[in-house]
Amino acid sequence: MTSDPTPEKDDDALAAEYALHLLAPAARAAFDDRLAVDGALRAKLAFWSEHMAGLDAETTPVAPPNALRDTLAKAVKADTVPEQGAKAPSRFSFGGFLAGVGLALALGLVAVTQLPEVRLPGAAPAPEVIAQPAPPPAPPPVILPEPAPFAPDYFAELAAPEGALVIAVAYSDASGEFRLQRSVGQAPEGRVLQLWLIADASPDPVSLGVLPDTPDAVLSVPDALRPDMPGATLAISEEPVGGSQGTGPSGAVLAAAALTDA
Amino acid sequence: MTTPHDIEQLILAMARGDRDAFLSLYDATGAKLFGICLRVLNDRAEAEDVLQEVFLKIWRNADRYRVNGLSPMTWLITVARNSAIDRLRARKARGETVDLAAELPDRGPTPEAAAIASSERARIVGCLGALQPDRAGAVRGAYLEGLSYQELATLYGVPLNTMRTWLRRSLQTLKECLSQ
Repeated sequence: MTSDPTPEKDDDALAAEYALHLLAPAARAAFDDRLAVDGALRAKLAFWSEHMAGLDAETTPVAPPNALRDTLAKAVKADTVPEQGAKAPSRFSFGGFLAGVGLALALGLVAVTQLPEVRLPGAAPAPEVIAQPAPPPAPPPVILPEPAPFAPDYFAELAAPEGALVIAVAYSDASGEFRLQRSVGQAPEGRVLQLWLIADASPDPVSLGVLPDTPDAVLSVPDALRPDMPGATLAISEEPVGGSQGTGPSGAVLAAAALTDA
Repeated sequence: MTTPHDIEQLILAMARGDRDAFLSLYDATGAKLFGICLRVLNDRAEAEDVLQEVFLKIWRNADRYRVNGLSPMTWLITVARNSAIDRLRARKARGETVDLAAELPDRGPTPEAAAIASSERARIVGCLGALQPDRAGAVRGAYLEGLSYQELATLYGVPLNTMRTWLRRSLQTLKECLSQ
């Protein structure tokens, strides 16, 4: 890195290496920081990106599976954008949208529906009932002291990008329960994970409850929500302790996945 | 046929929270971006996963699209390619073995691709053609398959630093050619 003849040429080479994704993580992050403030560097990168993208003409398009479109439609439906263009993130970062390293950037949700929090067996005392304004009215979830025999009808795997969080989910129509098994990752320090249901028919994410710290959890679904399972999408968000204080997810959505037939 | 202008309009509409624009963009570009994810990852399930992540990133960051000065399609391709490469490297970091020889099919353009050559494509392909074949191959391997310096060094049987020097020189030559 010291033998390059001029800083100008050095930057050209660096921009090319960045465009090719050849830089080591630390060098890439340093380049990201410079990009944020250096228009000339952005222009160098754009030069390489545009030219290199010419090579993508050689790549044959492949139709993605139809289910993916539905999953995305639902995820975006959940991602309500406030008026007056409040979508702008607070910190400008090229890493965020070029390298796409930030989980939090992948999808942040804004409050939509208020729901009672599910208390898990052994996690806390009785559930509180909170008035729920949005239709369909859902009764508060119930504690299940002893899980009933469980025959799953639906599965989903909630996996965050880079495999930072993996939660396997199974749902049984007969018992009206979700069983969750968290095999990788955990809530960020001082935060909790909250599970959301995005029904095919309803525009708003509905809380299925806050997950306990333990890797395994059982969540009972209110009767009113049970018919919504076919075609529904699940999402997991990170929230303040006790769950989202708003009427929907308030923290970043870490993963989302459609329920598939068992 | 969706023009670059159409794609830009869709991205700008998405920045205003337009979900229909998001789905239109997906319909117009999903297959292209999926092809890119598949090319890098060589694994359908992983590519589907990354494609989902890519479109959510695009949705979330649509309002910042203008800052980077890229043409709309290049921006989308960049997000897809980088996300796929990040996933590829995460997979490799987990120690899953990679057969480099199997990863190296042919890097030549397909006949269809040759037929739809854009001016940029003609330019980059022409300039790569002016490099020695193995050096052009290294640039293509890095871009198309997301190979790292270490992997390129292994592939071409040269020390890591030699590969770095090689590739930087090739990129300088390429820059001169592309700027003409």
